[in-house]
Amino acid sequence: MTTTIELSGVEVRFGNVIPLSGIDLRVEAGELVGIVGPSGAGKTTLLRLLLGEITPSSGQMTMGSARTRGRRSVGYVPQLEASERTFPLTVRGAVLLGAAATSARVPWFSRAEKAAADRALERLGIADLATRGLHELSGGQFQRVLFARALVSEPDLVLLDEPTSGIDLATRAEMLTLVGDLAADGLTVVMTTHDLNWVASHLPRIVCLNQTVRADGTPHDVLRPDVLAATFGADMAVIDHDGRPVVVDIAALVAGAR
Amino acid sequence: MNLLLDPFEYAFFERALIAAVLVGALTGALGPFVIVRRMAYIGQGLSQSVLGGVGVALVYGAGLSSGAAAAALVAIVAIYVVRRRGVPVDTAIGIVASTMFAAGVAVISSNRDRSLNISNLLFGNILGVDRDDLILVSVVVVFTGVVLAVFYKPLLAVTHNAAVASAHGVRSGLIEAMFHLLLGLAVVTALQVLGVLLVAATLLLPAATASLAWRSFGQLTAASIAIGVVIGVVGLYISYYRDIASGPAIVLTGAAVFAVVAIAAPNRFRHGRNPI
Repeated sequence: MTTTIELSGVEVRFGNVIPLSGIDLRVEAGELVGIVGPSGAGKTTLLRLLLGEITPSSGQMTMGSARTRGRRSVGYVPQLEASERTFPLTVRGAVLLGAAATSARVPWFSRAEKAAADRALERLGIADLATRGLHELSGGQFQRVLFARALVSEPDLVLLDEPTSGIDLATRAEMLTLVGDLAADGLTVVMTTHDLNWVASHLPRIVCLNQTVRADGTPHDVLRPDVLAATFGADMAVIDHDGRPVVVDIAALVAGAR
Repeated sequence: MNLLLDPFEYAFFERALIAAVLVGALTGALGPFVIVRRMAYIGQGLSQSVLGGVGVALVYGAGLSSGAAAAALVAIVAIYVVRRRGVPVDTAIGIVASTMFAAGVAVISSNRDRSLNISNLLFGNILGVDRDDLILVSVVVVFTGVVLAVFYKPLLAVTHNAAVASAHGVRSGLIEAMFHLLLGLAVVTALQVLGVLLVAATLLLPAATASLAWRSFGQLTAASIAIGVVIGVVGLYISYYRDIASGPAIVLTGAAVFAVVAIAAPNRFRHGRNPI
């Protein structure tokens, strides 16, 4: 199996602030990995590191497939932003922007690029929306457009920043199925999430992050009271439901009962 | 027909018409990028900064054009630097524009012995456009057109979402710097025609009008250029026949076109209707 990401003893430092320290992480090609942790745990910093926006202050970092053969091979799906959705672009136009860096220096996209955009839209099940304006889409449809934009350059690795925040339950389930299908097709997917039950418990591998990696494994290995206390700094119980771990925030329950 | 051809008896009208067409196309091409970035204040801010810089240049004996260009460059760099400190873009523009404007006024007021005529700078003087001005405007328009054509896709990607564009390999910082340089050039170039007080309107009105009716950014940009040219030409004729200043005539024509399209265009294309 090919290694896509390998971090060894990585530290990121911004002046006196050290958001990430002693990070050891290895992700193989075709894996689907969820990064969980509380706000300020360093999830976004880790994504920025993997995107190449920042460099480690110490430690080793290898991105096995990034920028191979002169093409960008990392796709990025950001959190939903209202301003992006009100932008005067058609769905196909927005997806094509994912290829802007490698496209020829002319104001139009080539037939091959348009075909790639249509393939990405087809893969996401929204080919019929190609000529619609972004502002005409629902939250779930727009999330798929962002995903298609990340896929248009046919990357080997896709990074998703909280892909399920701000969308409804049905769409969240669709997104989970979608990322599962893409990973099954051989794409490496790394996503951050704060949703332990709906998202994390459905992923094959979870990395608990709070400045450093607190635990790394399957939901059964990782979603344990001791690990969650170390990661989130809160008392959480874990119960079993149909073979899946379900996390219960005890403090929130007690507060709700009062 | 004579209504259209009569003004050409005067050579200055022909030059003014060419200038209005070129400046209309220039501001029409950049306007869409300005409005979708919610940077409506940038035109006003840059022109205000330029006024301050020109005041300083005139007091110290430098040329108007060189003073304007230098001031635009300083303003763009200053806005960029302030934004890098995490200050919102509208606040950054406001700080830099007010500071540069105040600096210009301070220098001018401390040199009361020199008589400075900056009314042309304030209100524009399209009828005073000479051959050299036309050459300068043409060069800026061709340069801007070529740069926009070459970098249209990365610029659009950065305008849509700079973080995502960077993640997908676009050099967002360079593209941002290039766009601000083009804006500065456009403002300095348009000053002669429209004046400091009105140049911002021509960056906004054609693009805002086009955005009411077109949903694809490419169509919007083409429409914005066309509207910029049309209101420049119509405004100039109105200026000639009604004997009013060219800058206000062009801006009022643009405002009238905007009002008509705003009333006639269907609501579904308007921005900001679908919060996530």
